[in-house]
Amino acid sequence: MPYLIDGLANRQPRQAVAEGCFRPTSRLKHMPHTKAIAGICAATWLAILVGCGDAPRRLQAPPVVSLNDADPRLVELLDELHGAVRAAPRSGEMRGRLAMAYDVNGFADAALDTYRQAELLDQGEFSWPYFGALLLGKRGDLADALAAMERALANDPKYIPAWLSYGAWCLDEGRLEKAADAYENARALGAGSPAVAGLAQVQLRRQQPAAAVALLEPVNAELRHPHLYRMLGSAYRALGRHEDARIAFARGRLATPMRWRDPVLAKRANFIASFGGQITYAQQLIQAERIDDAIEVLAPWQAEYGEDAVLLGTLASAYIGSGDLQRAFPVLQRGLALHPDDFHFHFHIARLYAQEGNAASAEKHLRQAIQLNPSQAVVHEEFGHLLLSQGRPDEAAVAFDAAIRHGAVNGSELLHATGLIEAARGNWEAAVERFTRATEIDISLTRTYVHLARSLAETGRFAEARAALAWAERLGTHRDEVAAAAQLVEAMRAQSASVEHT
Amino acid sequence: MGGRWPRLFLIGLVSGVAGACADYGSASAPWFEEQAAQRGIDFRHQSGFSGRYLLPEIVAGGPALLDVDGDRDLDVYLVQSGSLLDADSPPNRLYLNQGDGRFVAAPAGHGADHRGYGMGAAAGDYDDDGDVDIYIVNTGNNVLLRNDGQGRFEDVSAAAGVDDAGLSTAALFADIDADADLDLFVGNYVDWHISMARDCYVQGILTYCPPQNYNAPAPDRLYRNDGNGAFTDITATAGLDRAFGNGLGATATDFDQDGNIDIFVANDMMVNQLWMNQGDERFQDEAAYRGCAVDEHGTAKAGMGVATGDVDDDGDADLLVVNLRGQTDSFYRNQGGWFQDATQEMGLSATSRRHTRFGVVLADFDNDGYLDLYQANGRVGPREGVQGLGDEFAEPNVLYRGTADGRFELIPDGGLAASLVHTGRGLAVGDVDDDGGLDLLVVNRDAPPYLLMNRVHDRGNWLRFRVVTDSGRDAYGAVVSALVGTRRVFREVDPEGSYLASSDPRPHFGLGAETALRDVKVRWPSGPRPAVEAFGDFKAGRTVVLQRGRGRPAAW
Repeated sequence: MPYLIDGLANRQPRQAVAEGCFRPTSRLKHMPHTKAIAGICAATWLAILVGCGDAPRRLQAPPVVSLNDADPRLVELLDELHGAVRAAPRSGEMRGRLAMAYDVNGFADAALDTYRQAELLDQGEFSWPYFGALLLGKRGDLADALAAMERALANDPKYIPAWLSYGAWCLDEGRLEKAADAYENARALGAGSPAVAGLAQVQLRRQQPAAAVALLEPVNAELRHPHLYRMLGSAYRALGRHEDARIAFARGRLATPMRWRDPVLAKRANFIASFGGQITYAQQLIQAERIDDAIEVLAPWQAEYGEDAVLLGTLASAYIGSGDLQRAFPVLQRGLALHPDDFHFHFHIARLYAQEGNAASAEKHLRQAIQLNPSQAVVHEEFGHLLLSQGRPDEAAVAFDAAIRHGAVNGSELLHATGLIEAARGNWEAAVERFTRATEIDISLTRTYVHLARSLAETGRFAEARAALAWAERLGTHRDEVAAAAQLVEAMRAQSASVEHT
Repeated sequence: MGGRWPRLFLIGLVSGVAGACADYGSASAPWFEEQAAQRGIDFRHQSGFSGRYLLPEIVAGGPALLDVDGDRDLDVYLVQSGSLLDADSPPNRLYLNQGDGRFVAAPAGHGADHRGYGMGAAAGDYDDDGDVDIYIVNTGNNVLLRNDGQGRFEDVSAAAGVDDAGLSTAALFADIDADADLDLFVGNYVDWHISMARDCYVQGILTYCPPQNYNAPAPDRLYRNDGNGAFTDITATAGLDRAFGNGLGATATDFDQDGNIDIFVANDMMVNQLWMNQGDERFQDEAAYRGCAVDEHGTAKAGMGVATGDVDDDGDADLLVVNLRGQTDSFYRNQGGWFQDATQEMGLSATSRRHTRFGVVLADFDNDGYLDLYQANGRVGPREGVQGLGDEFAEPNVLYRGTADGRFELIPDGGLAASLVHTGRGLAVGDVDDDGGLDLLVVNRDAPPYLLMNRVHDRGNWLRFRVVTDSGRDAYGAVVSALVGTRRVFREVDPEGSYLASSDPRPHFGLGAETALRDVKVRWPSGPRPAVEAFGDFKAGRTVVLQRGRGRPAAW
C-alpha cells in the first residue's frame, strides 16, 4: 500500500464484551455531543429492537435470499452459515458471519438486515455496525450510515478508517464542523495524509484556501500525491495564484485515489464463496500491492480451475509482482499452451524474456500480442522499449507512437522519449514538435522543457528557447539541468550571432 | 428616482407573493404517464444478448426527437442495436408525428432504416439546407443520413468522411470553428472488437466487464465541416488526441463565454476531459484546472450521461454528470468558466447514489421557471438474487424537482403513478403533443421505450422559441435570455447531451404565473456581428421563431 496509516498496525484488539458505549478517549477531539448522540441513538435503536437492556424476547430468523444460478459453493456456504445461526440463535458472531457472507457475495439488503441482528446480539462489537454503515453509505442512505458509524465508533473510537468514512459522509451531507472533527480525530490517531486531505477539503468548502494550502503543502512536499496536488491547485486558483494552480493540476492529472488499509474490512474476504469472487478479490489485492495475499487466495484454486485463463493470468501477474519469476514462467507457459490467442500471456511472457535478455523471444511474443489485440497501449510501449534497447530507435518511435494513439497513460513521457529519438538523429523540428506535444499534455515536465529549449535553439528559435527555460525554472525542479541548458542555449545564440555577423 | 420606489416595491411584493403561493408540480400527483404503445410506437430495443457478455450490449440504445419533415412537430427516431454476432440486425425506426403527439411508422423508402449495431444518434442540419440530418453512432461504422427536406434520407457517410469505425457513443453537432456551419464531435468508448470480448466476474457473478478490464480507452474524433458536404478529421491538429478516455457522454457549450464552443466529455472510470476551444481550431484539455476532471473527493467516477443548464441563473452553463450506483452525481457549478463541485449543495449527494444513471436531462417540466432533473437508470451489473429472473439490470428512473432556492427535491416513483422498472439508457426531451409540457422519450434495453407524456396538472405558463440562423437552421449554441418577472433566465439551443440522444433544440421557458417573457435577447454563437440581438417581449403559450438578423443589436 502506498500510503500507510500510522497506528493501524498497533491497533489493540478489542475486548469481545463491550465496556460500555462511552469509553473515554482523551486523545481524541470529539464533536460536541457526538458521543451522547451516538449513545442515545444506539440505545434507542437497541431498545426498539430488543427492549431496553433486556435479553431479546423474540429473535427473528435471518433473511433468506434467492439463489438462482448461484455458484454451488455459495449455496453451500450460506446453508452452512444458516445452520450455525440456527444452532446458536443468540450468537451475534454467527449472524455477523452470515451477514458478511451476504455482503461480499452481493446480497446487500440481506446483509444489512443480518448485520442489524448481529449488532443487536453482540452490542460491544465494532464490526457489525461498521460494515452496516459502509453498506448504507454506498447506497446513499447517509443519515443512516452516519448513525451506524457513530454506533461503531462508540464501540471503538480508535479505528481510523471509520473516522475517515465518517468525515467523507459528513462532507457529503454538508456538515462541515462534524467532518472537521472526524478528520481531526483521524489525524490525532495517526491517519496522516488522508486526514490532512479531509481537513483541507473542509477548508476549501469553507472558502478558506489559504488554510487549505497551509495544511497541504507540508504533506504534499513528501507524498506528491495527485489528489493533494489537485486540492492544492484548487486552493491556489482561489488565491489567484494561477500559474501555481496550473502546475499543481498538471502534477495531479492522474486520478490515483488516496487509499488506506482497513484490516477490519478485510476479514469479510474469508466469506467470498465463488471462484469468480475470489478472482476479483485477488485482483483487488494485486492492485493494492498485497501480492502475497493475492497468491494465497489464488493458489488453492489451481487444482480445480488450473486451465482457466483468468486464474492463470492473475496468478502470473501476482508472481511477477512478487518478483518470483521462476514461478511465473511455468504459469505463463501453461497459459500460452492452453490459450494461444490470449494476448495477455504473450505480453507477460515477453516481459519475462526481456528481463532475461532473450530479446528475440520477447519480440516474437510482443508481435503476437499486438497482432491479437492491437489496442493495448501498454504492449506497444513495451515493444518500443524493447526495440530501443536493441538499438532500433526508428522502430521504437513507431511503437511509442502507436502506444500514444491507443491512449497510453504516460503519453507525455512517450512523447518525450520520441522527442529524444528525433533529437539524437538531429531532426530538430520533429523533436520540437514532440516535446511541444508532451508539454501540452503536462506543463510540469521540467526536463521536457529543457530538451525543448535545446531543440528550439538548434533551429534558431532562441526567444522561444528562453521562454521554455524560463518556464522550466519556474517549475523549480532539476535546477542543474535547467542552468546547464540555459548556458548551452546562450552559447548557441552567441555562436549564431557571431556567424551572422561574420 | 425617489418616485420609482413605490412601483419597484410593488413589483417585488407581487412577485414575492406569487412565488410564495405558486407550487407547480406537486410531489404526490403524477408528473408523467407512459403512453408509447398507445401513441403508436411499437419499437422494442434488442441488445442481442445471447449468453456471451459483449460490452456494447450493456450500454446501447438511443433516441432522437426531431422534426424530420418540417411540419413543426417532433418525430421520433429510435436506434436499434440488434446483434453483434449476426449481421442481419433489425433496422432503426422512424415514427412521424401526426401533429397531436400520436405517431405512425414512416412509410417505406424513408431511408433512415439503417441496420447496424446501433448505439445512439445526433441530429443537426450539417448541410445548412433547412432540414435536420441524422448521425448514427454504431459499434462499427457510423452513418450520416442526409435529409432531403421531405423526411427521406440518404446515406452520405463515406462521401462526408465521417464513417468512423469503433464503439462510438456520444456524438454531437456544434459550430466549433465559428464559421456558421455545424462540425461534428464523436465520442468513443473502448477500442473494442468482438475478438477481444472478455467475461468478468463482479461479486462472483459472471457478467459484463467494466471498461477498465479492456484497458483500451478509445480516442474521440473531431470533424470540421468543410461547407461542401464533406468533413475533415482535425482530431490531431485540434489537439484532441492529447488525452482521451472511455467516453460515454458529451456536451458542447461555451463554458467560459469567450465566444467559442467548448466540449466536455464524461469518461467511464477515468478522468473527464474539458476541451477548451482556443479559437483557432485548437483545443486544450483543462478539466483538471477548471475543476471538472474528478469529483471533490478526487475520484474519477463512472461518467455516463451529461446535462448542461443554467441552474443558478447566473448566465453560464452548469454541468451535471451522472454515474454508477454507489457514486454520487457530480454537479459542477460554473463559476465564470471554472467549476465547483456543488453536488451536496444541490441535494444530490445522498439520493443520487441509489441507481446507475445513464440518460439525464435538465428541463422545466412543471413550467415553474426552475430546471428539474430526470434520470434514466439501469444497472450494468446484475441485481442480487434476480439472475435468470427477468431483467436483472432494471432500475426505476428518477425525477427531481428544481426549487427556487437552487436545490433538487426527489419526486416519488419517478413522477409516475407507480414506478416503472426497466433498464433505461438513452433519454431525450421535447414537447411531442405541443401542449406546453415537456415530454420524455426513454430507450430501455431489451424492452419497449417509454414515451412519458407530461401530466403535471397545474403547470405554469410557458413560452418556447425556435432560434434559427439566417439560413433557417436551428442555431445550436445560441443562448436566449429573458426576464421571467424580475428574474433573468438563460436557456440554450442545445439538443445534445444526455446519453446517446438528441432532444428538441428549442429553448423552453417555464413562466410560473407570469403571462409574458420580457426583454428577450439572443446571443448568437458564430458568424458575423452583431453577436447579441434583442427581440422584445412575448406573451406566453406559444412557440415563437427568432431568426438572426431580425432583432436589433443589443448588449448582453
